[in-house]
Amino acid sequence: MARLVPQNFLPAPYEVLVAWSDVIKDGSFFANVVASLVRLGIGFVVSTILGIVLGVLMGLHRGIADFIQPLASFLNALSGIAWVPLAITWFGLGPVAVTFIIWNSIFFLVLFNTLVGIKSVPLIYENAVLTLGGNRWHVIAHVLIPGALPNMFTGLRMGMGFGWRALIVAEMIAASSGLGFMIFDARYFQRADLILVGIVTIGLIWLATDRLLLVPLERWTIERWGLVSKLQ
Amino acid sequence: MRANLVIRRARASVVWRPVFAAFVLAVLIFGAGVYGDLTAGSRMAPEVNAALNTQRYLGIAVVLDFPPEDFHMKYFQALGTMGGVQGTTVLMRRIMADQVRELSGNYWIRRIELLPTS
Repeated sequence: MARLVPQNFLPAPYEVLVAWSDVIKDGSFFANVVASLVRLGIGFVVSTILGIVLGVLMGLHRGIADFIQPLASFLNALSGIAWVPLAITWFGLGPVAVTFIIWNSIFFLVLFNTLVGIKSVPLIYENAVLTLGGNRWHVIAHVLIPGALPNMFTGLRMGMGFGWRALIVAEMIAASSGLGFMIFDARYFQRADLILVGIVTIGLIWLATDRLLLVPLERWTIERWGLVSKLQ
Repeated sequence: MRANLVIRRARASVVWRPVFAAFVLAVLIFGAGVYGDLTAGSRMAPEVNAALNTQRYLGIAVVLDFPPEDFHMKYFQALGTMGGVQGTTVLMRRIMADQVRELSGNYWIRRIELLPTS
């Protein structure tokens, strides 16, 4: 059957599957997937811890919020990709630069969602705990943080999506392994099939992570700590 | 009754999905390595196995099912001195015994053979 478009422009699904099988057989596929997942994992953990801690502190202390919020709002407006040249200048090509770019994409989403979550807890719950003899720690541990969890999970879910995108861009420029690197490297050889393998893999991993991990955790959190009493 | 069943099923999916996701991620991250380590012995020629216990450095021929590409070259260069490529075979000189064991844990390597000492 005659081709409508050349293979290096848009390969047939069968050719993409063959390329997929080839990179699995030669070991490069799993090496790149692992490199990307490890980087994303490190960036996600670092951003989540810092974002939640700072978000809670900002929610508890108005002074800290007033000081950090304008700066964080400004930085949040900048695209993660804009930081790539500076990240390479500061940290060189490698894992630190990639982690920084991922951190930049996830951190602010987690921070602001945590802040909104803490601030959205009705004051009446705090007062109820204090009236019953609880101290400040009880309010934080049993009211504010659980009350903010649904927002935190929304931030984590969005952050994971943005972090995944930032990772691919960062790997294209500042790394020598990973799915982003695999896609970018394939262009030298006009391997559109490999580029599509990378794109489909990224989509599938993201879809699986979101649908199997983040959505159930978010639903569970909303059901447990949010405004609904039962899963509908 | 039916509503309860739907709620119970939905709740069950909330539990098994993260477990399944963790399993899939673990397979993606560790699967190839674990499989490679479990089958490492089958990739080493008997004389390589014997030499590992007696020699600190070995000269080996790494036989692949495909011509090595950039990814493989970088990996081999990081392990030791490459002596050249002949078709789908990579020759490596003065490779430490531990690194030969590490090499054998890669599922994409078909066979590791001992090079005659010159």
